[in-house]
Amino acid sequence: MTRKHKYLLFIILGISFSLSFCFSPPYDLMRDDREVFSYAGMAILKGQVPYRDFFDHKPPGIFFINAAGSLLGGLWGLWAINTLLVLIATWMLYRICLQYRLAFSWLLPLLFNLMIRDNLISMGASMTREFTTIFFLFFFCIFMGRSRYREMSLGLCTGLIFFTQQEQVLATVPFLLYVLAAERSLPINQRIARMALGFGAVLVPILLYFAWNRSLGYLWDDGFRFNMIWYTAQPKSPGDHFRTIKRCLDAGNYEMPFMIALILGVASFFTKHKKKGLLLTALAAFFLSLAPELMGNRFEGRANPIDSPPYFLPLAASICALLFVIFAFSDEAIIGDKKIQLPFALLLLCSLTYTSLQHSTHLEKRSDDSDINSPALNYLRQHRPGNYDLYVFNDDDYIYAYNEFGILAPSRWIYHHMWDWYYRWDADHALLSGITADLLRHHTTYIIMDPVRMTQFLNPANTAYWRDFMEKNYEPQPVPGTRILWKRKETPPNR
Amino acid sequence: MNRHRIMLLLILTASLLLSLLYIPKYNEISGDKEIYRYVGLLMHKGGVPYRDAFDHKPPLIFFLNYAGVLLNGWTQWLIDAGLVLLATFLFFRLGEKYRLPFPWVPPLIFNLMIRDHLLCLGIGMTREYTTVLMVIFFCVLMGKHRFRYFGLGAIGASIFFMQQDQVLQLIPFFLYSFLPATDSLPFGRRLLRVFLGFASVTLPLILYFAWNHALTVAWQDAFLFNFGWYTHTLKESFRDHLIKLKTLMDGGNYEVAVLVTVVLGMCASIFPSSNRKLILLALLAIPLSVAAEFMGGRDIVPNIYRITFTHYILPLAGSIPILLFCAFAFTREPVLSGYRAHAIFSIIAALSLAYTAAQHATHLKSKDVDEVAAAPELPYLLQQRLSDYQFYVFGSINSVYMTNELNVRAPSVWVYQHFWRLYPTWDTDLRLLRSIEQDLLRHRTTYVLDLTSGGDWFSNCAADEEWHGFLRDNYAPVMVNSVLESTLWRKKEVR
Repeated sequence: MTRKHKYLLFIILGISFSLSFCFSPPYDLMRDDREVFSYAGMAILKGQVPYRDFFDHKPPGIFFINAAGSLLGGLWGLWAINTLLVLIATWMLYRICLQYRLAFSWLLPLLFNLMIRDNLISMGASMTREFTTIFFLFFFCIFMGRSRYREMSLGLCTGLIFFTQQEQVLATVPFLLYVLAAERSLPINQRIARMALGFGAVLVPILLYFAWNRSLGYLWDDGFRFNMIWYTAQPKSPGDHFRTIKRCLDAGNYEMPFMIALILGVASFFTKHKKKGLLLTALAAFFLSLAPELMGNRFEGRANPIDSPPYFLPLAASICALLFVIFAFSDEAIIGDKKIQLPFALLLLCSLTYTSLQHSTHLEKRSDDSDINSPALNYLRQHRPGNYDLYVFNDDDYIYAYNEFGILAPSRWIYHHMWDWYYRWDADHALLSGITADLLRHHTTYIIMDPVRMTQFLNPANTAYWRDFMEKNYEPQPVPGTRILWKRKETPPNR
Repeated sequence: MNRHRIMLLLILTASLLLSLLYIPKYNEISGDKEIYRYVGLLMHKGGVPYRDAFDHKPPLIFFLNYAGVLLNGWTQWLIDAGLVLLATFLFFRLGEKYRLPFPWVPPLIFNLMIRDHLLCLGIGMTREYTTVLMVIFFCVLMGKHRFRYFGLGAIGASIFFMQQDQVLQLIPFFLYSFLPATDSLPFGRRLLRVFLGFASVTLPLILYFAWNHALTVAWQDAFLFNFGWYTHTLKESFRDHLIKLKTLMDGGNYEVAVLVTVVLGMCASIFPSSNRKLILLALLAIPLSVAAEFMGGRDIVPNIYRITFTHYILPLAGSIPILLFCAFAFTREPVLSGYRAHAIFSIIAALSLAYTAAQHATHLKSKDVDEVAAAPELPYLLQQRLSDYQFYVFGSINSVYMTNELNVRAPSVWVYQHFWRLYPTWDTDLRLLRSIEQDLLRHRTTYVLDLTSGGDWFSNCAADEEWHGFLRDNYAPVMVNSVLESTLWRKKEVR
């Protein structure tokens, strides 16, 4: 690495850090999913076991990352892990760009950072797909490298991706197949064994942890089976998927990199390219990184499927991987030359740079969030609840309250949108009965529940059951400016 | 038939198909266009623009609409589609002349952009015509015809008398036409010919207004007014204007085409080129073509993140393909010339626009379902068989559509009134408002459609009281089709 390259690396890492800072805790806006992950991290540190003691349907990796973040200092700890991972990914990508003598070695690392920190797509930091995107870039850099532990590291990254957000593992499959089918450095058995060993390095500790805590069944049911049965409930038409992809790419300013990568990828396939097999692999990975969008909509009973921009975050890595393969192995006279790449470099960066500038000059403060400053939470700050003393019902944003007070929820059902989304969910209200039993058992004092949202249950029998329970046991707490706080009646009726 | 003939046929067919998406049945209702149509109708009935109906646009658009009235809207469509076809043909021929590998690309992008339904507001807007004229102007400029300079002057004048501010985008090309190296003709003769061309449009207009004793009022309304009021409204910062441009380009899917072309233009101006001056001037024409956005805000409040006044960026449909043509035609850098580079950049530039056109073509919305066209008042009024001056619309420019459908003259010169809403200092002594009231009384106007209810339409409270007091005193609400709150008022019977 020459001095010039070192300076460039320093600049890129500086930009990466600055972009990460725009998502530091004071400016990382509240999102319900992340509050669930934070809660999971806190609960693990308090001795609870994911799935068994609190429900979520994500694989366990994200919970352990959040637990590590909590150990390192809460939100700042998590931010530090996240930032560090992005910095490492940036450094690794820059190194392979230098190694393969790309015309602009800084281009792809910068593009990766601008894309992964695109606030219009990521909608905040430390979500599952952000981590899998970083892990995928590690995976790709290792794939392009020559380390003696290459196959094992590939298995390890695949394991990390799989246990953080399962479907994102699909994007690694073409590269793994390429390693097995197109490379001859080691006998195939050895390659498979090394990959399995790497994957096992993630898999085995997780299995042991859950087995030790007698929760393997919960892990399987909630972390995996649930997603196959419920979360692919309503398939979208191909036309709907296509329109969603267009809208999200457009709205998130991913459109230009997406189109350039796709068009150059296809064009390179029909022109002189030194590694067409690898190009095909990168193209396949590019399409497979769109798997979250293509795996069906998450809702039932809605006429218009909604768009989920974070599903497109994995493109931040897969586009860089595809562009790398295009630029690194194209014939110089076609795309490999510096002059030819200059217009593409400008086009790739201009729109995303604008997005980042807009974001960085219009940072919103997390502390200004209306839910954080709600009268209900202000009241609870004065009457601080302990473990099991507060329950947030069907208002996911308020899961934040558990995290602020550092308390555990009385029920494992910490969020409830399944009751809003699926007609067949909890048809016999057995789960709701479990929740009410938990509330009574723990003598839970407060419930945060918007009365309007209760009527969003798709099954009227569930609404009736819950309303009946609330009327018998809880009454609205008269807090000026809010109707969402309920308090346990002084002398609940005999059961 | 040779390859180029087939390409020409295909591009003309594409242009015609895109125009067919805007036949009168599917041409969206827009307030501005209804005003132009009304003035055309008025001229058909012997009226004179400005004298008999206020508008602040230059006069050519009214003459065009006058022609359109002759055959129930289809004439205007024929003129519109014919002009676009002519521009497409000339542009294609120019591409052929300069040996572009794909001479149909700049005309195709021109057609896709000018027919972008997200921005163009249907056919018939002034900036649509100035854009078409701009492309024709450029083709004439690049040609070798003996009447070239006369043509430039005539087209320049046509643009000026269609939409004054759009003449700015011609300045770079006029400069180019007067460069010593462009032509062997002496500067003075070139200037004289341009002047003659300009006069060939200007003189008939001046004579028309002089003959009708409307020269002063035309000068005041079509020219002075725009400097007095329209540039002294809400002041948005330069940065706000840039954000607004980004918002519009993003929302209208112009973004990719604009970015690709501007980047190519910049690169072509840096790389070796056979006509760097023209490339630089074409680059300069880009900001000048959207000068309207910078000439003062038209909004009451800053709307920089909302897609409003979309037609202000329609002129990019002319300036962008022209720049693309210049970049492709005059670059001597191998990386920007040749089939492969042209194919890749053209696909990137056109893909998003083609998607927009395909979406529009497969989701055509009939004009009949428009809120104004489907209003219950319209069939009621049609049954009344009203004559001239018997119907007046106040408060909604879109509803002038009803006046046009009823084929009646409005009783007042003030066919639209949004100045009373936009400017608190407009008509502070209520002289103009009272003149409207006098006209209504003088003509014994039977029906008034008042769309100013709600109490916050007028920016001046005194005007609000004056107008609604007048209505209450002289008119009574008519309940049409059980509408709870009637907007239609009928003149009270004199006992």
